[in-house]
Amino acid sequence: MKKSKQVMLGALFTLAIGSCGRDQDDQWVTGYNNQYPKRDTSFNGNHYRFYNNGWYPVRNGLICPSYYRRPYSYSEISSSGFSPSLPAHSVGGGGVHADGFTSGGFGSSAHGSSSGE
Amino acid sequence: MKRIHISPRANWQEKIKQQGFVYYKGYYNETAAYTFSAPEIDKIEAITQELFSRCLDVVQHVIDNDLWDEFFIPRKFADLIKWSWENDNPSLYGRFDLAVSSDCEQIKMLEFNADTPTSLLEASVIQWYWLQDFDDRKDQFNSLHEKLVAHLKVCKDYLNGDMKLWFACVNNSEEDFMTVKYLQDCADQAGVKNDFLYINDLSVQDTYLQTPFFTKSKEPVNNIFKLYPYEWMFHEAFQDELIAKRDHTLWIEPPYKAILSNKMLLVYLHKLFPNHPNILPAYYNDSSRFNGDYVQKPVLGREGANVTVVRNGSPVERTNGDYGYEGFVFQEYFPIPTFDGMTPVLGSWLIAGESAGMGIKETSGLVHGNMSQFIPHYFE
Repeated sequence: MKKSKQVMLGALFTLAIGSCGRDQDDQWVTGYNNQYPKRDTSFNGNHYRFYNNGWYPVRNGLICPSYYRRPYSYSEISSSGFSPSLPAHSVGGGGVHADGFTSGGFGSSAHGSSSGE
Repeated sequence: MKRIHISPRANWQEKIKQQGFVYYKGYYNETAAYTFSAPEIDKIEAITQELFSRCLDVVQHVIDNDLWDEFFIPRKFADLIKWSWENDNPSLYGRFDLAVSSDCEQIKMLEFNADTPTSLLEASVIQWYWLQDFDDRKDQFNSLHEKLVAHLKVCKDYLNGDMKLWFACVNNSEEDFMTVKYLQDCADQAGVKNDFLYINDLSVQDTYLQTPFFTKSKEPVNNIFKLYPYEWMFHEAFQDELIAKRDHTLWIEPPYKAILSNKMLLVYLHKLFPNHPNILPAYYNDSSRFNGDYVQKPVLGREGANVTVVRNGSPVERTNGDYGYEGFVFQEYFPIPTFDGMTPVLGSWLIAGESAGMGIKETSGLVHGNMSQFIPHYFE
């Protein structure tokens, strides 16, 4: 026989199935790497970074694409009086923290959904 | 090798969702299966093992000859890659994509998904449970689950520090999340301490280089399985931390997988083994060696993006994407037979370097990308 005698799935996996489809935490990333260099701009006192064919607000050097359904367009961010919406916990998600820890250094190249093949 | 029509099980959607296959829509439908004879499966198993040995020969060749530029790997990672190779750092898995003639007389390697293969859950679990319902007296080339659990027991001896193994993936893919959670569950069954985090949440402590990576809550990450490719990590903000922390955070898959998951592997396989019956001729940025029939693939492409199939000198199928900056590998075209209008590719799995099972995907076109469908199989 070349098939597994038994395939058992544990409680850990069952819990994971249950968590699918729920909203996941907002994730903060740098949004650039050597292949896709940093491209930032500012309007109305707000800082933006180009990522995934649009512009995202920058906080603490990081952007949070998972919070938005789509990036802002250039005409949106450059219009007078425009103010972007931000995640409720926009500052704590990543970046350089006061205690000397930095996060968000991996994950910025995943422009599509899956990183598998 | 045959393709048969089958009746889907009653409530099959509910069954597979309960088994974790929550990303099945448009990808799986239980209306067909592939069947094989035992000698055909023995042959696929043996050739998978043989191809893996030849791929490891290429890794040694790259290291011995410093072919980092040829593989578009930044030279600063050479020592890290060599170190992981010489220390035989643990690896869990890999998947060859094989093209097979209908009589299984000809079996050709299309590529090796060595670093971040997915479609594991459907190959290991979903088609196994399907066969239990379909006819449990039949056999299947699939000991993936058993071998994963057994190998993770062995891996325990290689783990650093607190011996906890973290499992990580990106935060926006259910397929990646369930793949990694399945592997984490296998580790749990193997008695390995484990936990999960998103790859974006990995942290470093700025002041001290001689520390491992950390979670956002400052727990040390001494060992980590990542479903995230080295070709991306080598260009991201923590790239230097990979090198600086090599003695403090163990990465699975190991860094030498950056050589094996690179399409330049195909070029060097052909260069080193030009008459091998299972290796197709392949060249870098050169289509002139073929008589107008070839497949053009980006060196660092993923999921069938930016692939062009050329027949008689004219493109017959082309996929879009953002890859190709590093150039293209041109591989001889192999005419895969169609079954009911569908073109199958065999995903032949290795666990711990041992041939361990098979999952089949098929498509109505020529290029297998993220729109292919998974089809179960059995043999007798």
